[in-house]
Amino acid sequence: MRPTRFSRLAAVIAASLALAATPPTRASAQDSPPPAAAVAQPASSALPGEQAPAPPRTLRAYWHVFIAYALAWLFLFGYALSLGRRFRNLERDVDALRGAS
Amino acid sequence: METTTRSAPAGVHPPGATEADDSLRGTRRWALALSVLAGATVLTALWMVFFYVPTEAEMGVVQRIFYVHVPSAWTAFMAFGLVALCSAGYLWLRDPRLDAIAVSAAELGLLFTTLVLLTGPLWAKVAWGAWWVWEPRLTLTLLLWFIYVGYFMLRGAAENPERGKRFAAILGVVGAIDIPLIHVSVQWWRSQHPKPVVMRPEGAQADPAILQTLFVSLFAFTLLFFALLLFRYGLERLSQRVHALRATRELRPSPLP
Repeated sequence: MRPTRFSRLAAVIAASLALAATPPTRASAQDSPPPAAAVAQPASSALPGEQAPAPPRTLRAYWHVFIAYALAWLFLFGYALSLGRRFRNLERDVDALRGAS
Repeated sequence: METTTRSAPAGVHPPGATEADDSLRGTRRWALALSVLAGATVLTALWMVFFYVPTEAEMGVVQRIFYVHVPSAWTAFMAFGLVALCSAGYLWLRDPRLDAIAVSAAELGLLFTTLVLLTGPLWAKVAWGAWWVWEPRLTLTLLLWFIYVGYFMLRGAAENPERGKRFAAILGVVGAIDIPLIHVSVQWWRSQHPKPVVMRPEGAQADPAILQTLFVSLFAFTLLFFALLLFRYGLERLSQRVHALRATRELRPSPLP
């Protein structure tokens, strides 16, 4: 099957996800995982009595929020721009085909 | 407003071209109006996320990822639900407009699932200490992403485009079974993923400011989805028109030498 631009992009994202899923080889004190009890508890849905110890509050959390929002809006703007570009290309094709007929 | 593959005499547009032009212009007008509305709602949602909602007591600032992660998941599920509905309709009626809606929604569903799969690990690394855990909800969501990557590969790989569309439509219907499974996965299996905040038997359970911000974000993403869907649908119809015009040209007898 001929690899399309879309399937290449899908392969890159899949590879990134696979890399992200790889367990870290080295963990610093700051990166150490929270206690096991903290793992199963949701951020905002658990009852007050069920709350587990909070994860360590570091600058890393701010970075993660920033990256999450930046990625979301970059993807959405990128997609909107790609729609505009594809529209222009197709309109050019329609004009060319009509002009030729 | 069907695009047609019948041949047209030189200098004359294929039948239905004018209606199709009007239809496309109408779609684009609606898309622009929805985009303006979506933009305003998105700005309101962002203001609420960063200036209105208090920082969650237990999780701290990283909980704010929730307001982009959950709406992305909701939008992706809505998109794939629409893919399933329109694909079923396409298999039954063979209306190209239904296929155009299905492929447009599938592309957007894939985009929003990608956002879910990117924002989730960013939260998980802080909350769980790991980017990814092979637990049911995460695994099923990744499976959903692969199903719809397969949807596009099927469409692109088939020698006969109509056959590719039919196979993709079947996958679009079958693939949607994964959506309810993702939803119930946290109840059915031992799951590390947080339980639902809103859709739970005992009702929504969170601080009112958190719920208000979540609902505004959900509304903003829904509007954004429909705005992008209309643009993408217009693009797909235009693409179908280009194929029809090309087919018209190919059917026309070539002039004698």
